Amino acid sequence: MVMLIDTLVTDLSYNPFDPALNFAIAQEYEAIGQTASAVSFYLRTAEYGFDEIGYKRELVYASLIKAALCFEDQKNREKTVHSLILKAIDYYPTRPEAYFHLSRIYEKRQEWQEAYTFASVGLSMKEGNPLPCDLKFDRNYLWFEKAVAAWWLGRKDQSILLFEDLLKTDIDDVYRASIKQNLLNISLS
Amino acid sequence: MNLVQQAVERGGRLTPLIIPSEITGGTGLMNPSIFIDDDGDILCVLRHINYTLYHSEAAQRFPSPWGVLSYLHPEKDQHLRTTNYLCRLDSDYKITDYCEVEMMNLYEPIWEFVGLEDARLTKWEGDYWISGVRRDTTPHGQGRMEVCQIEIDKVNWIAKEVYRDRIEVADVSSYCEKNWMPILDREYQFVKWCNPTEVVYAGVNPAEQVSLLEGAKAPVDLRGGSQVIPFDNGYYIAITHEVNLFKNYLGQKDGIYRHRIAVWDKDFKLIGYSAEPFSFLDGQIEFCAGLAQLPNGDFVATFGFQDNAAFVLEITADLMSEMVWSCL
Repeated sequence: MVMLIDTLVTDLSYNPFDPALNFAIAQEYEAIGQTASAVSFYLRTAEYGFDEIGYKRELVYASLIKAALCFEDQKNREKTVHSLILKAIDYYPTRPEAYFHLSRIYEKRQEWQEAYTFASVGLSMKEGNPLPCDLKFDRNYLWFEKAVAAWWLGRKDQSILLFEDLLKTDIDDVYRASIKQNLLNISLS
Repeated sequence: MNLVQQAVERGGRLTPLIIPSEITGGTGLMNPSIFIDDDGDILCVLRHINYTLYHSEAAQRFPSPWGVLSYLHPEKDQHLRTTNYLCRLDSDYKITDYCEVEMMNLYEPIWEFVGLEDARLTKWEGDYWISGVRRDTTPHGQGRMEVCQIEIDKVNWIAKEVYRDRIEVADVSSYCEKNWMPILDREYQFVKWCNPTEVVYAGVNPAEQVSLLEGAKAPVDLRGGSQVIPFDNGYYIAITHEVNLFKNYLGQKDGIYRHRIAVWDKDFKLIGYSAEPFSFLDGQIEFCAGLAQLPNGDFVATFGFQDNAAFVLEITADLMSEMVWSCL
């Protein structure tokens, strides 16, 4: 991994403002947990890719979300995480991924109306062009956020319905376990 | 053309300096200093910080909530903490050994910047020393250079501070003394200023002036960077930095750091400097705190990038010679 960073950064010396190259370096640093280094290169990707509204638009959008996830990984940087997710939404408001992360932020804060609303907004968006990397997103995760928030907003029936529908999907095991636990809690309440 | 590109085209190479994120939590590794030991070991002091520099550079389109250039410490901990790791590198400049330098616990820090910052590694009279600025001893962050003797156990790879001196200056009201450049072959001597060049002896406290010589007139303030190393029998060289600090229309701070080579004669009269400043990788925030000559004659310079990444750059002897002679 370090060897690959050697090569990429050496390439960068020839094209220091190339968004794709900065993004590739950021990904390599992030893969080994060097989130501070990754943030620098994700931010450079966003800054130097900004003018491109063609294929690099997804790169800039992904960089902002990835920078947010790096700060989240460092913990105790919630305002910065929130700000970067808002920037991603502002930059590309018709994609759903950033809305999921925003909804998740509000879920953690137990700000249920905000969590519910932004899950709903995200669900109204289409994924669109492929992204350059995984952003820890699945459309079912938005349904999950909506289901959780619905319960706390007094929409018990909707919450149960959404959770039960999610169990019929191929949602991943972590979420599946959480859904089952939530349904159990609801049945006991 | 940036220096990395130049160096690579002439046969040098660039290597990242990384210690595992399980130890650092993924926050910044920056401003390394390099030193070649008598036994051939390539030693490096690597600064680890508990914060991450958020820099929205160039057009500043994605600033943080606190500005375009912000040190993002944990939101529930206002301190900007530095620890230093002593590393040994192999001939490919990969880190083979590392340990946190265990500093003496002399007092409770009383300002936000905690720890010895941008430590440069030297060996004087057979002892290892790291010197840098510390700002945590007063309630308003007064900075003074500190020279810290460290003992290194190379078998078990342990490094610990055994002696510390905080260097006072004649002007005791001076707010921040930093980036003094240690002179590799002159015990306890530092280049404090470049233009004119003031050399001080820190073996006494307060430090005493050794020389103050007018020399070549640089167009900018050449500030301290790497160690000062002997060059070609009779000269001394260092990599200095200069900074253009500015504010955007919102009054938010930003900056651009660039470097030059400075050349002195044996009496420490500045006789030349790079005609044009250079960048390592065309980042706005870069800082060189280390320069050393390898036994084969080549050079290695170490630098931080955006305060979040650290690198060692090998520069061939012929390229360095060209760069130095072009200064004169």
